[in-house]
Amino acid sequence: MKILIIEDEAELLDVISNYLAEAGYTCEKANGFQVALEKISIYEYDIILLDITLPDGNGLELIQTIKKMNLRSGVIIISAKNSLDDKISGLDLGADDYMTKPFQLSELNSRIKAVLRRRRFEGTDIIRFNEIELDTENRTVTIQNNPVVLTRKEYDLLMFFLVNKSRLLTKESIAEHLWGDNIDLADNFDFIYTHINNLRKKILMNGGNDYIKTVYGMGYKFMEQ
Amino acid sequence: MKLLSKLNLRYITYSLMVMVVSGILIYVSISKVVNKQIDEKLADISVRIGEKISGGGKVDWLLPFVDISEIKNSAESSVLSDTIILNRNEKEQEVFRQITVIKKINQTCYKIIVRESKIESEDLIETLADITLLAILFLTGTLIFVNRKVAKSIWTPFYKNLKKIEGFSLQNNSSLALEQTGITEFDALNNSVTKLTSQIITDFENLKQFSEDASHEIQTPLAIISAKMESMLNDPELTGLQLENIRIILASVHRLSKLNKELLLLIKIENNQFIASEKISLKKTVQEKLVEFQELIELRGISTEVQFTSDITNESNPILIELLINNLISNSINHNVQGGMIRIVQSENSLEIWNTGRATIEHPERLFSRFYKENPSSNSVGLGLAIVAKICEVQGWKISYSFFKPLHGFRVLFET
Repeated sequence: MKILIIEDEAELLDVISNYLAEAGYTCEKANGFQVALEKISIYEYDIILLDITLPDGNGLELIQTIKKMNLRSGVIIISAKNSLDDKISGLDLGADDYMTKPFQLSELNSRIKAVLRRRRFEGTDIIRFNEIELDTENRTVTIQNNPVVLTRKEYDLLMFFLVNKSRLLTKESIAEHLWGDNIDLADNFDFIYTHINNLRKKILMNGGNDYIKTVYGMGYKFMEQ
Repeated sequence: MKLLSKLNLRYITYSLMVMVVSGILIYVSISKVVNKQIDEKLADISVRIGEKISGGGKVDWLLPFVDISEIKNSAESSVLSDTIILNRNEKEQEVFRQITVIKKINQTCYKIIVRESKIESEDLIETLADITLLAILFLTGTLIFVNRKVAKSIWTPFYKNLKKIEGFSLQNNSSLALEQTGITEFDALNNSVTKLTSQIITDFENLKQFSEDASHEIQTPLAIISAKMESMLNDPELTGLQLENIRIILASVHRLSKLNKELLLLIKIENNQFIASEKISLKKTVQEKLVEFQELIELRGISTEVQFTSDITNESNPILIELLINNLISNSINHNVQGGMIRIVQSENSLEIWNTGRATIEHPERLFSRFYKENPSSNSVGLGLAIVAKICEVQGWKISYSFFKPLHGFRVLFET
């Protein structure tokens, strides 16, 4: 999977690129409008991460160019602006998703996967981890071919874990992934614990292994035992 | 006191003073003229009588108007004087003007006295003075009336502009458009006021833009810190202590970013950036929000009680309505007690959200101010209710807080 990261902030560009490279993507970097335009016209990317406030041009124009060239690339906007106007015009122009800075890298990874799935770049709707299988088309889960009934939140949680395997996920990033920004969870992280516990129990009860590792005080890690 | 009434009052005072002075002057001068005329007339008659006597004619005379007598030789003279004569019929004293002439005609010395009653002339003087005074009075009255009328039309644009200045607010984002009056002084004033307000508007706009830009600019470095820290999390060589430190940094960055976003939201609400409006069912919004918060509510064992006596459909911005209800419900959960309750009551023009809570609030008057936290150890940003208050302010609604042990309640009054 090839990703083009368009971001004028060098530090951020590097850290995103390194993170996604570790996650198994091939990353290319563009630090401005012109460089990005050149790369887009030469190569084809599966995903384009786009900061719309670039020093030498408006990122929204890049989306128009991509659409004009009929590229199949999925576009995720990353912007410091939370402006609803930008969000709407970005999505209207054909961007697939919109993230506001600062964002969690695990969340970015999960959004990239979602766009890839939606565009069927990965060829399959099934995410597999040992005995656990997730059918993203029908939103069902089976363990050793036995169907497991999960609530919506539990399904989302499992998906978030599978997309970010072996990575430490903080309680904050899990909460934000599941509930978004709206709910002020400042003092309410305990109910993430409830969901994790329920998910863990359901996996164990249906013959799966306990892959969810608690990192005390920090969060959780989904990994081989 | 209005300028017009003040002006009129001055006018009337000065007019009265002028009237008194001019009345006296007129009376004195008219009576002087009339007296002079009488004197001339008396002198004329006395001369004619003298001529008639010298011509040998007979003079018919009537007392007390003409009195001719022969006297002993004496020097010729002519004396004017006032005298009082008893009126026969009315037994009243009457003032007469008289001329006493002593003249030698044909070797005989005559004393000719010619008199004329002053009553008539005094009547004349009075009438004349009255007419003049009336004329002055009428003139002054007309002047005041006209003045009033003219002043009113001249001051009308001034009052109009004053009203516009009074109605000027930075909130409604429009510059002051003052009427040209065609009067140099007023136009000069208008120009300075317009200049001043446009300067204020520009400064305010710059300030708003600055706060918005600053907030945006902060997000990028925050993103870098957050991303760097997150990628460090997975370093297998980290010790527990280092991990703990990273977690604290990440949590702080998260909080800072949330704070920044909410401040930005406040600025945007203040800047009226949420203008699109549509009909929104409050009942539906409340129900949707309750579903969203369902888990949190259940987790804390809170029971909910919802009463809708009627549905309010408001013509307002959907984002603002959602934010308002979101923050109020979120507040009622966060400050609730384990196993408590939330009661939502919607009546014809208000929405009330009640929740059980801990003790009385120490500073209810500061509840809606920015960064006020009842519990300082809470991780909450402390802007939720400030945002609620700001939304109510820009929408023209009223928010109030009350406490009836053990229930804390917020009430939004829509139509005011």
